Amino acid sequence: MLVLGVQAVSVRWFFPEVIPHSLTLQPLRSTVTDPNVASSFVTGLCLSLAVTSVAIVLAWPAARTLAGVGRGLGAAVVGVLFLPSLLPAVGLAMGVDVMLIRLGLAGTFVGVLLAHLVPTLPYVVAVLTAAFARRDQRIEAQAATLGAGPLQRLRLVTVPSMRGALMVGAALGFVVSWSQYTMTLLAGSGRVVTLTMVLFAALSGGSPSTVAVLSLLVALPAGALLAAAGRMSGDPS
Amino acid sequence: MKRDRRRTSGRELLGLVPVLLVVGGLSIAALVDALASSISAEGSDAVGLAVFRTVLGLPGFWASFWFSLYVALSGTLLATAGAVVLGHRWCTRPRGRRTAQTLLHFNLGVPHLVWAVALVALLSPSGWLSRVTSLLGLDSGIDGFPVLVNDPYGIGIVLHLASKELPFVLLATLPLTGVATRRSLAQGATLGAGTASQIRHIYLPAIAPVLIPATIASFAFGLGGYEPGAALGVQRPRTLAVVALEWFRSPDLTMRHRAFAVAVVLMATVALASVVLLAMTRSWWTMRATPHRREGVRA
Amino acid sequence: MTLRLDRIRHQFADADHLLLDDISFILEQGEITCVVGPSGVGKSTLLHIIAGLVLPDGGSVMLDDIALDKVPTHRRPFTLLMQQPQLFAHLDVVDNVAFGLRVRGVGRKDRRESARAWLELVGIAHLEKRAVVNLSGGEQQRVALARALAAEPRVLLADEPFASVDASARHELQTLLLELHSTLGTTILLVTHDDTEARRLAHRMLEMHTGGPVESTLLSRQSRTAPV
Repeated sequence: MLVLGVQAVSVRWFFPEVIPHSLTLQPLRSTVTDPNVASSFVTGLCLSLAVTSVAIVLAWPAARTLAGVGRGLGAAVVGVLFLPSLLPAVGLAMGVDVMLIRLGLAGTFVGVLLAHLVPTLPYVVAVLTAAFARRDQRIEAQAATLGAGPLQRLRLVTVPSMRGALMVGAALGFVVSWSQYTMTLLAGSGRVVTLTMVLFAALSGGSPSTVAVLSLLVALPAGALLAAAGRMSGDPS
Repeated sequence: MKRDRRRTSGRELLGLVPVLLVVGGLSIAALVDALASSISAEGSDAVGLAVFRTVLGLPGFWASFWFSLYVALSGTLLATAGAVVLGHRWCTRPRGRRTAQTLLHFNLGVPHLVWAVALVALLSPSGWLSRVTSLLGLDSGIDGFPVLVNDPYGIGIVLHLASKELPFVLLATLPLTGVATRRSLAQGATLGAGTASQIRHIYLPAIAPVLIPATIASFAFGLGGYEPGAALGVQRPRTLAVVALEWFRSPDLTMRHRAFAVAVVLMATVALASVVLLAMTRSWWTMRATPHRREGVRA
Repeated sequence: MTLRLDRIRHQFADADHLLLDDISFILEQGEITCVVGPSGVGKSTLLHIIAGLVLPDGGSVMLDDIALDKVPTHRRPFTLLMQQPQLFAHLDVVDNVAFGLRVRGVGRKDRRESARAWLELVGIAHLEKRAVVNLSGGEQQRVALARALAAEPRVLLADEPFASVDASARHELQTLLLELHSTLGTTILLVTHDDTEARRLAHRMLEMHTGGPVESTLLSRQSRTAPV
């Protein structure tokens, strides 16, 4: 990654120089101001934020239920959720694409969003379920006896007490969605273009420094987010 | 005092529906689609194995198959072995664990494609490592540096899979390396178990419930992931994932059926590998069922 | 105000016999009533039924002759003190106490002022800004007590509230409860398995029995043991 960082700020860095003779922000500037890059960055950002929000909303009730059900049902549901992770990624993306074509959603934002939920949701559900299972569910009963209605309990008790898990789950969900390549490529039918796809196109034909800048643009937000989430979730010991 | 152990209500079960519908619905539909599409040919209603026969008979198919299997197996093996050794080390010597964990999380967040690009920048003949070695006079410049990426032996892909999946497997198993496991390991050590037998008899059985699914998932990605093969591979032999995706995107619709046939072959391989792995590790499951680990006492 | 239980019956899904069978009694206003009996007899469940956390299979909780069957927990004028303090970890001490006022729409300044007065009454005014996780067990239970009283319940339900603290803290908390009761006159229904505690606190004892269908007996008025 460091090598990429150096490559991003250098031009004409030829063999065998270990350290480039001059550094410049020129490739960074030209790449960032490229309208294709900017628009795909924004598309990807909106997409991953939307996927994350939908994933949290869908995963919340599921996690709440899963934290309370017996082992048998819980294991079955978790099995179904992680089934896509055990399938070859290319085959899964192809199958999902065919489904989206059938639903008339291929090449649309909503279609790609649905496709991204398949690999994203399991992780978000897993994080939230673990957090729900760890906490004392009687805290809501306590709040109710103090006069808090269902919405007040959610807003004043449940959500604040789940804040850590929500942030970790959101970070993980964002990263999984942000990293998708094959899924976006097929479900988006070339009409929904994210930064990862611009990077892939640049691999054949782009200058090394452009590739490096794009790589960093793709990697840094996600990597930093996950590193931060990892710190927050803490050590299991 | 007895707590109210109520049954899960219908309304609560309803909460599972959207999630199952999206994930289960789409992925099971994808499975069915792949199967259906691979046993029918474009423009005819006939159902049969004709597409499979064609695909398996294509020149280069088996080369691609064995190549894919070899890179996926070696990558997964290295990743899992590394994750086990490192995880065990962390259990016994927790020094530096937190920093390493942050690094691993960072790696997990880096998309596969970017990781592959970084490997190229580091390991290609004109890459940074090659510049360092030639500066130090260890080889004779670009030509003297071994071809580690975009090489016909898939070294680049294997390195990619090993380095990218190791953090995944390790982080997945971490929740099972808590106090109980550490205590068992310490107990084993006082009874004379060396590192190897600690890993074999205590650590592996303890993390098996997560290690096995994580290994299967990482094998499935090694076999069916597109990015490593596309960015780090060569034209001949290509990995089956690359072949399938290119066929799928081809405007010729008969190629789509072939792509799905390849996807089915990949799925079957993952399924077969999972069965083999589960059979090989059966002793760990049965061992977990016994409350006291006898061999520790005997040692 | 009269709280009356009318022929309450309840059975758990996984149990093979009725836990509560035909329980009826009237709670005397302004008194401390202690529910005693062996563990597993359904004492806690009885409190949960009054609080509306558990819906009974049969019978009703009546308040001023109105059945509360359809009234959800948060609209019932009771608060419940649980065995574990169940404090809100994301709130500090004063905001924990102010919680009941907050959900009733009392403004921040007013509810905090009121909460401080309650903290004064339970003797921990100096802890108002502290995070609840840093408090001792006895201190936590004082916060829980202040929180339950600040919501101004018509009946304070207490489910073995002092069982989770050590003996000396328990004695202090019992003394505090008696003092608060003599100042406020709150009607209290307290579940305990500790006979000494019951004799020390109760104006009236309600004894529950096990063995097949549960029968309830309302004991005659007892003179309390002199305060120590």
